[in-house]
Amino acid sequence: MLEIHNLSYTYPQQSSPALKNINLSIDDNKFVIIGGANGSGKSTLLKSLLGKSSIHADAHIEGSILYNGKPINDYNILEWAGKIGIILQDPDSQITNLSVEEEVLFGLENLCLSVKEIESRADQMMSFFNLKNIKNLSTLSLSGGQKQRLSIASILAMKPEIIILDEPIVHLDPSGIELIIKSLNQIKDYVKLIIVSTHFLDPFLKLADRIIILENGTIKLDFRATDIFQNFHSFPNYGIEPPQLCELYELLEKRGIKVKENNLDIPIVSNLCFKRPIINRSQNKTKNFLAKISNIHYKYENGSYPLKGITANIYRGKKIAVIGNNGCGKTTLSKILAKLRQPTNGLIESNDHKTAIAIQNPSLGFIGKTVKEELEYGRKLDTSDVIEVIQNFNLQHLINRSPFSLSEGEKRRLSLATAILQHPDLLILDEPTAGIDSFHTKIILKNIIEQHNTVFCITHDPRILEISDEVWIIDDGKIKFQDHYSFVPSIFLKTLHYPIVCKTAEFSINYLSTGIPLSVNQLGLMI
Amino acid sequence: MKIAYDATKSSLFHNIDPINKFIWCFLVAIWLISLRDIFSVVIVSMGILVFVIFASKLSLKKYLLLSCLLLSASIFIIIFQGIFQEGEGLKIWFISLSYNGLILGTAIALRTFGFLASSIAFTTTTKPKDISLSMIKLGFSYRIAHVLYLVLRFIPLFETDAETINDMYNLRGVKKNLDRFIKSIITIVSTELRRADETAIALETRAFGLYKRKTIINDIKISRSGLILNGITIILIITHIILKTHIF
Repeated sequence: MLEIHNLSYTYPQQSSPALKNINLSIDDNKFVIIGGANGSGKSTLLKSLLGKSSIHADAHIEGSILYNGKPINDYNILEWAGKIGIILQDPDSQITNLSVEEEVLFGLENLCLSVKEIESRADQMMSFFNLKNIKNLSTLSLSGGQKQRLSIASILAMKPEIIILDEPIVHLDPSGIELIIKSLNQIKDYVKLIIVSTHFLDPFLKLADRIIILENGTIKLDFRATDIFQNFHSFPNYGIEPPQLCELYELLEKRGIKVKENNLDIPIVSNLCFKRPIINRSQNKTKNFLAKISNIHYKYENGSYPLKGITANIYRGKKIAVIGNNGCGKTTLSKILAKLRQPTNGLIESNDHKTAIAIQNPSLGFIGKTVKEELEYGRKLDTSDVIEVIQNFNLQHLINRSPFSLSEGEKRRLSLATAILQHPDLLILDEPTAGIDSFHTKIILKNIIEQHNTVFCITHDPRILEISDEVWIIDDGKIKFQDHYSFVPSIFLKTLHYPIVCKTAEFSINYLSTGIPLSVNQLGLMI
Repeated sequence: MKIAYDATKSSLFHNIDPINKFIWCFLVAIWLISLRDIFSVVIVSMGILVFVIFASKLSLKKYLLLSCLLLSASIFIIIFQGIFQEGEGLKIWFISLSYNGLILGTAIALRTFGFLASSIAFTTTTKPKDISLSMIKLGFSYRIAHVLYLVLRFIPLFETDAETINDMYNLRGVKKNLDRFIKSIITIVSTELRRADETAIALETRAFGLYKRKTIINDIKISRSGLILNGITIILIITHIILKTHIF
């Protein structure tokens, strides 16, 4: 049993604590979700569980954490490292070896186990996580989902009793998310306690036993996962998007369709299907194009081709959402559109359009010493629009702060605000809502909707698809679909393993009381 | 990384253990440093290059590309030696360059191309993990060996980050000057420090550094081909010394 008593945690040089008087008691054999907005204290709570080694040297900590009745700081470091394992948000920071097999062996070798024991455990884990066929591959060449699976396998091989996952799906595409969920489902019986921090609860609902919601370092909600339907209405108050599953159930019930009570046996359900507006295709076309892309190919240094013949027109003022699995060439295409890369073959016909990009890791694009300087960079005297953008993005209280000191949500908003202030003809956004809580997502979505410029948005977020004029599905280096998302055929969604929608289709088939199997589109039309 | 391990190829050098390869690189370096006349330097450097091309399947194109990076340094070495060595020479504009210095400078510069060939042969045919295992076998702490190995793991991430920063600055019209350079360094350092912080946590939860020693599954075995290569190289060096001393 894990017990936390009156835990408070204040970071060095901060006046207010990141955690305030946390009291928790978690039984063995549980899967616990810790939810909350950006900056609510989720990561601090998880890192506190790691013990002395992960705590800032000058941090002020009060309270105690006990495992099986013994304070965790009383365990020697070796003993505690053997009991707890953490999976970090960014797998690139977690993986410390260059081949898949070396990574799995690494922790076991450090534990000084016998060669026989190490080989047996590594073999077991690689089989379990389907890593055997890629064991000699470089860890640099793995997809996001594979990296996270590898991280989990490497930790699990050490047989920890507790596994902590800090926002494990932020950078993953839907197929990557599905792999992680499957893996977690498999390992549930192997470990005593799994704790996941996330602001996107949907994928984990099926597995969870308990949900804890934090806000400003305090516990606001703490309930059994099966009680989600009684609690999800208050989620927006804490910056968390209500689970789409719950919204769907509620909507169906409002329409008089009876749904099985408290059934969480659907991993991921999206509002995608029932909010899809049907538009008239002919109304929405304009001849005023920004760029004509003809048969673009791109070759990486290693000889692979992420783009194998992209052909499309980008019309002025349109919002394009681009989806596709990790590594399918979306980001490369955006760099070609921004003229940062030259295609190996093919042509882009365009007038000299100005481009601005808001990248996934905003820190890499910051120039100014303060937020104000960042927003005003390269501008002359006219700063009236800067003031407007500061208000739109809720950045007023941050203008004298260093951009690097901001939280992830704040950095994303600043990055987008800076890009918009460049008044580009083409605004490129790379996963603008990934890892962002519901409150800040709403701000970002509102600002995208209000854009008059052309927007090219790489995303896995169905909410962005909803506000787009066009969806491009990129697979195997080509555009497989290009139209409004109302018309996305199920066959594309299934081949792309876009489970959010596919699972909704399953839902429609299995759970509607009418007993009539319905397709995604039929369900959308009906509701 | 043009000098990174190339797993797609198979060659004599790929089959030699890193310790023997390292010793061979060391012998080659000693041999090149000991040479004084330009003729010997040219012969030995060319010999090493030709051998490396066959024994490690080194692409000549890759070698020439990397040699270009050395070219400016070589020119500097030649001029530097020309200026500071005494003796007869020629005068270009107001600079006096001695023939002795120019010859010595050329010999030094040519040596670096020999070093380059042997070094590329080493890095492109040796798994980074094997380098770290060799260090452990040679008595270094596994902690130091793994930290060096980690550098190789993170260089590609570092390169990607630097590329992104460069792209963003270009897009925002940041002028290419010292200020831009300093800003990009600050950004890279702060990003990598954050990454290092997380990696430190990852290492600690994987019990890294808790024992003085660790179990090693894939230990390095000294290869016979490596011993033969080093034996032949030593014989060649000794023969060369004897020929130089007693015959020429």
